[in-house]
Amino acid sequence: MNWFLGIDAGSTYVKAVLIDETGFVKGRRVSATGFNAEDVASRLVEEICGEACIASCDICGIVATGYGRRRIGDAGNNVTEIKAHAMGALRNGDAENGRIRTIIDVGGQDLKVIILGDAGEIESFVMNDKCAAGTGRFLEHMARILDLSLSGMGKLALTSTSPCEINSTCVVFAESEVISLCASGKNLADIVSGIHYSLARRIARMARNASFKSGVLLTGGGALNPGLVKTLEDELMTDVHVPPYPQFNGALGAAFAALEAGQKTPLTGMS
Amino acid sequence: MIQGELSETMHQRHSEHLKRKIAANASRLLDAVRQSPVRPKGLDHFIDVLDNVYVSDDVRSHLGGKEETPAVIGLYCMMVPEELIYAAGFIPLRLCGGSYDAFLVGGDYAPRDACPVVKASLGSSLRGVPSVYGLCDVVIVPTTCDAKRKAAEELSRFSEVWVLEMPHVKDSEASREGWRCQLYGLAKELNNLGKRKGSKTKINRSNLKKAMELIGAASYQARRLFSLRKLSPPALSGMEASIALSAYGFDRADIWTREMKSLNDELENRQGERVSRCLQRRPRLLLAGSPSIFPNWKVPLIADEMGADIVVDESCVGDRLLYDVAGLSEKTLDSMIEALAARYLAPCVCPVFTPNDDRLYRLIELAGEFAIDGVIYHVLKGCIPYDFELYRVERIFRERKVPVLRIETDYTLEDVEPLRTRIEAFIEMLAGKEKK
Amino acid sequence: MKLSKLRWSVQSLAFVVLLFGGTAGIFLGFFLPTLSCPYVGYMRGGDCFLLNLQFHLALGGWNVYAGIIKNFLIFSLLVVLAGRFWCGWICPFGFIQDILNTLRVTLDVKSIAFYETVKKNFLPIKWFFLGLSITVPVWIAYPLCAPCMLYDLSMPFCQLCPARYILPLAAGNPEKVSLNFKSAATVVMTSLGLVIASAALVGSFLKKRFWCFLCPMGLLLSLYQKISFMRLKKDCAKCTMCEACYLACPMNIGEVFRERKNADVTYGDCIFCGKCIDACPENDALGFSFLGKTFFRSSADAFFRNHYRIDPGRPAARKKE
Repeated sequence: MNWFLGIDAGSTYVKAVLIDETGFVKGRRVSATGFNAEDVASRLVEEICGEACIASCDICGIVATGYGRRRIGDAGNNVTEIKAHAMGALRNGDAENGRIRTIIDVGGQDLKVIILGDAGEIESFVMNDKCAAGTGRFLEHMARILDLSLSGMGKLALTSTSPCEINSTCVVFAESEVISLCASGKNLADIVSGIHYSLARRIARMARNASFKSGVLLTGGGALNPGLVKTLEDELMTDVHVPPYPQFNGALGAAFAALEAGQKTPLTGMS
Repeated sequence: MIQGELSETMHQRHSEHLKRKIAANASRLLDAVRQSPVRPKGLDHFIDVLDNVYVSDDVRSHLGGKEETPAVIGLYCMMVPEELIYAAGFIPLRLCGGSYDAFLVGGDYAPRDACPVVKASLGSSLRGVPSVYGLCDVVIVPTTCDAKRKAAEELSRFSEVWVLEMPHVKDSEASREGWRCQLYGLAKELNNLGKRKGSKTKINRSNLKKAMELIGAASYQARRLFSLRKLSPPALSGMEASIALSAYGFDRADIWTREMKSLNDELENRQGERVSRCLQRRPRLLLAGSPSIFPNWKVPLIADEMGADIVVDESCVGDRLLYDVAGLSEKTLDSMIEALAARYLAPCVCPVFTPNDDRLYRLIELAGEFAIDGVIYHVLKGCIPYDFELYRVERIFRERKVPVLRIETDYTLEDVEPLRTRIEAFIEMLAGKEKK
Repeated sequence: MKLSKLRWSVQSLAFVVLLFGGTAGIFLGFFLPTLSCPYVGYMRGGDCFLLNLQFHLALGGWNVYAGIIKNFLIFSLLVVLAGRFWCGWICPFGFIQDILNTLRVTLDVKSIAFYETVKKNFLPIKWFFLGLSITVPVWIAYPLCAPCMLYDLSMPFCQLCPARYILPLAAGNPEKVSLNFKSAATVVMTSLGLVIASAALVGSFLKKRFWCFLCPMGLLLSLYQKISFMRLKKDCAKCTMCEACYLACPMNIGEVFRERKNADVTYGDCIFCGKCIDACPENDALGFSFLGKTFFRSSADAFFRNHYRIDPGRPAARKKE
């Protein structure tokens, strides 16, 4: 049995996914990046191998992706996150994948929109890595101000029936708005819902700039937030699918890249 | 903001500091090219010219001493006819700035959102570093884009500036007449400058014809280089071609032409041996948009590093610089000036002109001739003309299924990593398309 | 300048044949689409169609008119075959104008500015000359209700045409450069003619092919533009809009360089001199074509060789490997 590993060395979290030669996922691990992504990655590799009861030398190929991909010594090769997310999105076993044409990745510090063609190839992409608008950082910051947990925020947003208007998408200016809303005694759920709409608006704007196509897949840590999924559907006016384990999508894609390189014949991606 | 003029010693110190930084940066780039094992020998002269200008700061060693060249004229943009300058017995040099460090200096004298080329030029002019800036007796600035036009006023603090009023609408009798008048005026000013400098040369039929032949020969060699990059793989890398073309701005045209001829001959000969840098076909890119002026090679370097070849650069410091050539059908003085006026105005597809459909036709033709896989559209922050044309360029390439990557950047090194990610993803995308 | 050298040779040959061919027994016909003036005398090698048109129209009679139609058909055939090639390569008066232009270049005299709007203003004059050539002779032959027209005005355009004075002079016959005192009408017409001839000479010295902007023969030939077999072709993708063809064009045709889509850029004013092709620095951007077969293409190598005396030597690597 041949094993392949993908490592997504993000700025906030390092994710690793182990697959076998048929593409079946055997293990997933995530850990905070901290200071040294390389050490964290090595530790994750060991842990994953331990769980799967295989030796790390059994792994035929390791491919890294993400911001810190070049620093992962264990990886034989690296691919950009664009490619990794595209590969991950098409191959993660979800029945909807046959119709996916747009991938929106809401990461901790960046936001990507990837447009796919009919054969699953990358047609174009747009990235925002200049500011925190549209990224997980926006929600993290707001959670801190409102003294909520990230997971709690999403659920709370869903309960709101009349979300507040938060006009800014910039984290700094939105903070002022949120504080004034709190001071004026607005319902917490409505404020949180407004925060999610602001984030969704920013993401939707970038998706529209990229001329997104319907068949939208949301990946990255942001996809774990049910509030974001709903508000994004409202803003984009189309269904948004979330794959299982969305924050591992990049690592999964990197693992498949390793698989393809190892096999020399690429898997066809559409299920 | 301007804090007040610096004292003489402080100014000296700042200039020395700037000189060291510019030399260090330029040196690094030139050494990288020197060390390439497949570098053509003929490139050495051009590397030396850039070295003289930016590193050792000794431009006279290839331009000749003061006696041989009574005046040195600094030019901005590419609309100023160099033939007139050579006919008057002077040497033209191109001063559009590419240095990050000069950009930081010049940033104090220009608005925050102004184009970095102009800021770098201002910074270099203020400090007189590289010394070519201080060497120029006169600086000619055509009224191209807003930033250049307003910078002309600032530049006049450091040297004598002649403003050349260039029409922005090319195809009208009024524009043609006006532009010809400007050139006649320029010729007169050059004659006056000559008188001031004690030179007896006046622009006449005979010396203008010689000057046109000089530039025509340079254009011929530039076209040979242009053709050699159409080959697959291209006869030399984008960086190497860039060195040769950048050196033109600081070299005498006759010497440049001679060295270019040797380089072209060498490249043609070694095509027989098929010197290639890697076995796999690298994606072929068209670099469009704002010019990447040496030493601002951020985007071309990343593209090369990430595994693609820039085979054609449509900017004014790339393949557009010497491609067009004036017709010498009729050899009267007035016809020659008319021919120069047409050559420098009509085929120029800089986005300062309106309308500029010609650029779209040119890009389509280039994409076909060079078998382009993708386009990197490089926009400098504040460069409104190029940015405005992005939409139409994207549209024409979308119709032809050629991907376009828009890169917006300026003269800082802060965004190298994000640029790398984007360019690498773009090249990955192109390589993936090719496999299918 | 291969194309222009060829043209000079053909023009010189045509000049000799049309002005002196008669001495060798050559006579090409009464229907030539060019200003080959019969006033040159017995030496001439062919007749300008306009003179014969006017002369026979003034005579009247159905036989004569049938003869005109026959000549007109042959004339049309010649024009359809070669278009305004007749103007650019054969016309003896065009040859004289080209010689004057070369003289101007040698003396480094500035050419006068000639805007495209001026071209438009000259058009009525061309129509006036052509109209004169047809209406006045017919009026003489068939006065109908109008007052009788003097017979001395039977060839009105010929009295005004500069070729009628200049070509005989060029053939060594200076007596034609004079006023005709036969009647008041002829005095007036020949004085006007001498003025026009002087203006044409001075104009052609200062502006390439000045008379061609006024010539009714040229106008007549330009009416066949859409159907003639000789065409000027352009490959718009190759064009870099450098305007060199516009500057070189004696007829100031700007539409050739401006054309962005159509491959056929044959215009009524174009005299097929080929100067645009010589001036073009791109490969295959411009060329003549006859019945769809293109020849005399523009070429970058030829451009550099002719304008800048740069010999390519080894062919540059133009083709993709």
